[in-house]
Amino acid sequence: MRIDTTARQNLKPLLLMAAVALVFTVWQHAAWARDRISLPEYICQMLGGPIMSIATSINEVVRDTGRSVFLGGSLAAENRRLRQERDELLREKILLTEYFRENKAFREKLGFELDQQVKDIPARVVGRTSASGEQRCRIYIRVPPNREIHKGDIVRDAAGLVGRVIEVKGKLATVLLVIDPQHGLGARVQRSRVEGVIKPAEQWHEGWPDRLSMQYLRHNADIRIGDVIITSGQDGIYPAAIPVGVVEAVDVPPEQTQTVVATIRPFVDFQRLEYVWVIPQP
Amino acid sequence: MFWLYLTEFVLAMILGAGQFAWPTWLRLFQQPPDLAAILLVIVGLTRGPVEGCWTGLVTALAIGSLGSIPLGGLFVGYMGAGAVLGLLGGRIFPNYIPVVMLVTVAAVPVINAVELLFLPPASLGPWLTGTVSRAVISGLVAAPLVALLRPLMYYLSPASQRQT
Repeated sequence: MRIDTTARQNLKPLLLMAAVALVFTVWQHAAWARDRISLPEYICQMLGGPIMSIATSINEVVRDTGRSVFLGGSLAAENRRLRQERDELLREKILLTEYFRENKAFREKLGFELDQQVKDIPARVVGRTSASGEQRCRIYIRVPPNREIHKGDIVRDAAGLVGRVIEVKGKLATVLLVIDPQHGLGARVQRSRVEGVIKPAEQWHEGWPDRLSMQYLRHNADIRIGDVIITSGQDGIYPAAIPVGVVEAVDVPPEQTQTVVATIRPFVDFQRLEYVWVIPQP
Repeated sequence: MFWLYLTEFVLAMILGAGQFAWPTWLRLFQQPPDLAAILLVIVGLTRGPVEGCWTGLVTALAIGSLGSIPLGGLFVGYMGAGAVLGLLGGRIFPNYIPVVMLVTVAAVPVINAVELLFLPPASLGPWLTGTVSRAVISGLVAAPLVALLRPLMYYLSPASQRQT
């Protein structure tokens, strides 16, 4: 008798919660259909966003402290190597600045329209979905105050292309990574200017993480291992000349003899993204 | 009781956000622990089916909102698991940390399997590897989390419902 009473007492709140869950689900679907988010989701994101930022800060402090403690001996050597690299890069930068000015002068003489100089917005990575075994490869970034980003803006880091913004909620934005199975982009080989389409590699599903595949290349395309791949700007989404990755292998698919497929190792380490730049789209 | 429900909501938000911000160097085969499932196990086993279901509701909402994941599968998985764990609470020993760890290891694949019905993965192999890794790391992380959360749950519970 007592069990019946307890079960009956429990049933009412359980049914009420099931109803609430149903309402939230329908609300979410209705909001997503209009390319928006529902109020419960918005509230949770407003509460969860700062928590993710704090958790990321704590993680960085712990990791950096751990590195300082355990890798103290090698820091001096690393410092020396980095100073050397910096000097080399400074020399390279001076040379490139010279080339840039020369190029600019040529363009002006030829009457080419110069690209607008836009300031990239730094943003911090505050969360990510699991990289393996899930349909989504996304990161969540938080932009600094007084800066605004929009859906469609391009995201990169110092090494190369990261992805593009697909959702913005206040200061928190969702970025679709180039390794996401739903992603594709136009790219070209920097050396030979051969163009193709980049998608996540099939091997991604076989436990070879974070590799891209350059497809639709003719069987005699001039592409070699070690070639640098950059965006072509032909897809209408990404601007040209953003570094994507380096060719790791060139294979002929068994079922197609007229095309070759190149496996690309991205320059960006998607497992260690901390800060990125958002390139606002005009 | 209000404070208990509110605390469970706050914990769900913290752990849900923590799950997404979990450091990459502490992941097992790139998988973070399912902190929300651990909370669900702790609350479900110690507080019964209603609070288990409530925790499932708020954890699913937190994860779905922060990860832009469809809520339907999450609600069914987490709320169902919370209610079942609540019903199991009186039959197993929730005060033993190894028991909670084992229940967590079992609960994570079950929740993921329910979600699988609503959001099928691209291929089953990586999903299986990911689920097993997530279950193992969740079981490991459950131990300190239980030690941390159990006293809190105990002191927030009404005196008549405190389990020793």
